Amino acid sequence: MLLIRSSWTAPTALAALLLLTPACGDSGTTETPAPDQPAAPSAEEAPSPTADAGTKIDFAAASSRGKTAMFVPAPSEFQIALAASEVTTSLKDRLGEDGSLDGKSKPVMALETGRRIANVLLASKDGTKEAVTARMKSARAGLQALGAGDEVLSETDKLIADYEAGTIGNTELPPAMDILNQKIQKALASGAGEEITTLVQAGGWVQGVHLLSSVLAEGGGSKEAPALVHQPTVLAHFTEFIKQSSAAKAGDEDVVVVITELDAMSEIAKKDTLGPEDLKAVATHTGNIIARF
Amino acid sequence: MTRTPLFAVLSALAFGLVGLVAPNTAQADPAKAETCLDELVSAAVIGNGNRLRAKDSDAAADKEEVVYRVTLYRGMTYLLLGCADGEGVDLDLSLFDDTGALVDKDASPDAQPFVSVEPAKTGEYLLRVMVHKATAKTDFAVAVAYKN
Repeated sequence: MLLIRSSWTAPTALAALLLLTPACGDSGTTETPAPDQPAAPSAEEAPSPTADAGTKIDFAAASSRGKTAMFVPAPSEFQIALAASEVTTSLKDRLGEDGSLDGKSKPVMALETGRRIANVLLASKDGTKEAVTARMKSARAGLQALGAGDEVLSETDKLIADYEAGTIGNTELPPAMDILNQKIQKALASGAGEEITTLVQAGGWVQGVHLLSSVLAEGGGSKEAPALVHQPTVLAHFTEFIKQSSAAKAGDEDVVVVITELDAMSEIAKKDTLGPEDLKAVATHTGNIIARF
Repeated sequence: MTRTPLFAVLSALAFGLVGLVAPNTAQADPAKAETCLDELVSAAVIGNGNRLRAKDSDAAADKEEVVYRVTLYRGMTYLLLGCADGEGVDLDLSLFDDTGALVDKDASPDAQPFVSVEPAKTGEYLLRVMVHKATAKTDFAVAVAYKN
């Protein structure tokens, strides 16, 4: 019984975990249900190439070959993480006006579209119907400009229509947007290409960091709150990617400015911790990037 | 007080999911792995008001691994979950912090592992997905979700 974990146990325990598990403290681990966990790996399980249970891996080596498909936090995570850091400011009240798509290169349109999608994700939980609908339509325009396929545009239209009609409300919209966002990423990757997809992701991340740094620069929150902005590995990921992009190699004026600002942020990110002036500087740099959209 | 009926509903959904991944030793079926994961996400994540960050699919042979970089925030609760395409396959998940230390793992001998974690600090972590008991290259799908 202890060592046999039937196939239905995982989803059932998963459901129980999500429903019943309270906060688990700062241990960084969660106790999984004892009956489901074998005391040790079975005889068939050979040692991992990177580590046995309980031993350390070579983090730098493993990270260097790690996939980044799930690396970057979703914009909506920023709001929840902010609340967890004892800051009650609502990011949706600071989203700002959309940038323009007119006359912009495709990479810059991708960054702006990512920002617009981030704005939808941040506004969808408690924004007014009028404001959220406008944000959704704005993001849809960005997707269309990037050449997103008819299928994902139709799904976007349906979600907008359902929201406008009240078929789904502000409670159902955020998770529905999460699912749609995954489809958008997949559709863009197969249509517009991986470069555009990553730039869309970068645009959302820049918007999130801009909002977070702006709020945190005003003070307040726990002493760990600045760490929400201090993400040197994510910054390096996007900076290197954009530097290698076709737009950078072509000398796109806007992308060159974006790289300059990201490099300036990289200098700040070298610090062990960020102070109020660093947070203000990050807000300025990200603001300068967004101004190019 | 509402947990019991909610649990029953989700358990029923989870039980229904078993039908989709019922005993089948066929492997190399990415659509099946993704469908399995989508059902898990739909029933236990989205259906429960939680949020999905991202998902991905890949393939690995027996005793091979795929590593994902994930940024996690302190103060939040994350759920890392996966599905392999064959019921006979054992898919394991392990999470390591930036010192390389093991944070948590699900090494149970099944095809649908999950790890729930409240990170002790904000930063980069590594999620290792490892395939066991596979007779051929096995497709799998993984996701990062978080509590709302």
